[in-house]
Amino acid sequence: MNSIEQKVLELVGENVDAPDVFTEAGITQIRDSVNDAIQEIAILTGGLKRQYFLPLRAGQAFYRFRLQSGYFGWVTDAWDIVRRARLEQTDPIRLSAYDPRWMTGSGYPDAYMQLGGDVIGFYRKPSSSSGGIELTIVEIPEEYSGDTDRIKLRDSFHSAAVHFAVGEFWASRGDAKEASAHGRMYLDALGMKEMYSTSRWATPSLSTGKEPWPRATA
Amino acid sequence: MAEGYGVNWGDELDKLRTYLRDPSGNIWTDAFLRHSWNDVQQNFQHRTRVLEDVIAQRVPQLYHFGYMHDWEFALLPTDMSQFYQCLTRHGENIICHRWESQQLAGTTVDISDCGAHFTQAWEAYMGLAPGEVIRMKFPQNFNSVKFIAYDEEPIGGTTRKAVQSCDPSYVTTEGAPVAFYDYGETDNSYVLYPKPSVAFQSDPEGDGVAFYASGDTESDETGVIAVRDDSTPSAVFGASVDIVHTENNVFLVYDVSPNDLETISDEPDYPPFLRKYIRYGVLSRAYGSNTDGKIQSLADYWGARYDVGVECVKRYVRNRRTDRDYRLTTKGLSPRRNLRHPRLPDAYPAV
Repeated sequence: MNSIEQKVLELVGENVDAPDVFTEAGITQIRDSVNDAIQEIAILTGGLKRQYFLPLRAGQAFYRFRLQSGYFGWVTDAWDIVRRARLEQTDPIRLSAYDPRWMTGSGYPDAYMQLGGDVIGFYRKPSSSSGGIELTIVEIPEEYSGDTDRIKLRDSFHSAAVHFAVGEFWASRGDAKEASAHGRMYLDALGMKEMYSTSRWATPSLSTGKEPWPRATA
Repeated sequence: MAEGYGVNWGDELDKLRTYLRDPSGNIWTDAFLRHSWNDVQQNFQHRTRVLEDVIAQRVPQLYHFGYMHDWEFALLPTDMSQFYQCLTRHGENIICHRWESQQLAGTTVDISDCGAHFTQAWEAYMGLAPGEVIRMKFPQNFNSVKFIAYDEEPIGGTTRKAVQSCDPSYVTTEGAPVAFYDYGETDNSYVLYPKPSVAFQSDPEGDGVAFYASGDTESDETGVIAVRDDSTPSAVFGASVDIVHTENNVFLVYDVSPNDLETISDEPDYPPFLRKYIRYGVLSRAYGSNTDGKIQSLADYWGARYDVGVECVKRYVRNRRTDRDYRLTTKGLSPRRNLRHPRLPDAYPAV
């Protein structure tokens, strides 16, 4: 087991050195929870970024990505390697308003768009098969499965992942109170407690300490 | 797991049963949990709009079978999914030409027809003028259009009413489509207007008419028979890339309505890293349902986790636009002029 799983077992009162329930097979539930926590933190923070090089092909504007390890999150930077220019993010609605024939022309890509979960499109479509785009992509890490697999999570968020898994463990044992307590600790450790109220009926909203009405000045 | 997800409903069911502490299904049946899952995944999509997809559809579309009567539907092969209900229902009968309805009614047979009728959509492109509109099917998991283009030209949405009002020959009018209209929600189909003047793609493969071009693959899951995608595996970069062709195809960006799960081997439409939120919703409903297993505190806990998940995924959807540059503009003014022509001064004398 890795260090996060070990901390989880300590918090649920399991013997870490000689576990009776969470053996090699029994650890799956904890491992799934830790994986869920890592992926949720990645969604919220965009913490795992990788660069990919996309070789362009003449006349092809849209490309669907299938990552070998991890899931496609979103693009943070697109860079034309040959022209050494940054591509602007856009979308088909905006382009259609700007130029209804935007799909027909070809040339150097000036802008890119993300469509759906994993499709990247370029405006204009490349006129030749030379050149390429360097994409910086936020990845959602794939699930780890072994004791020694790399944990793709910043160290400072490890305790958040631990509380996430402990909360789910107690929920699976029927203890909602303990589960909720660790759920709040998870949000605390993540620094996002303010974003999510502990009451499910409250609506998060922006506010200041000022009175909302004008006050007469002396 | 990332490239082909490989986690199916059976795996999700096992996880649900672990958290419900009901491994043998003594309280919650498999059907209850599956129905709850299908319900929650729709709710999740409605609240987050996280699922969006892109597809290139060939014109004409291809179907596994054509059928006529409604009762035939129940007899169609279950291992196939794309069926075309052809011709026209008229009482207990199926008719091809419109004058046949007069024949059946015993009145004067004097209604002419505008063209030939067909049992498969591709037949309408075999040289004869079609006698009815040619339907295209949206993908099976389609919910609403976000962007649609035919042969790299964006087309707009319209109605049959508007088309009929401006073109009496709308069935046979041929040209580059400028619009599409919804044919029927249950049928999940639409019609391109005007009818595209399609020549079958070159590079034929297989038997008979050139249905498939190189690189086309058959896909039952997406609800579209022919999806053209050349694959460029580039493992050295850690990603493989499929190319979505837009030339001579309908290019569709659409909002997804997740497919219902039916069998243990079905794979949910959501990527694995989002499925936990559906699980939270199902657990909340299961613990909150009026059964021997009702535990309100756990229903509330999982419900709260589900709500947090919804907010989390909303942020994820927003993150996809983090690289956008936003500009302040004056309300009511067009942000840009599309066409820049030289302007004559106001005082220029009229000729």
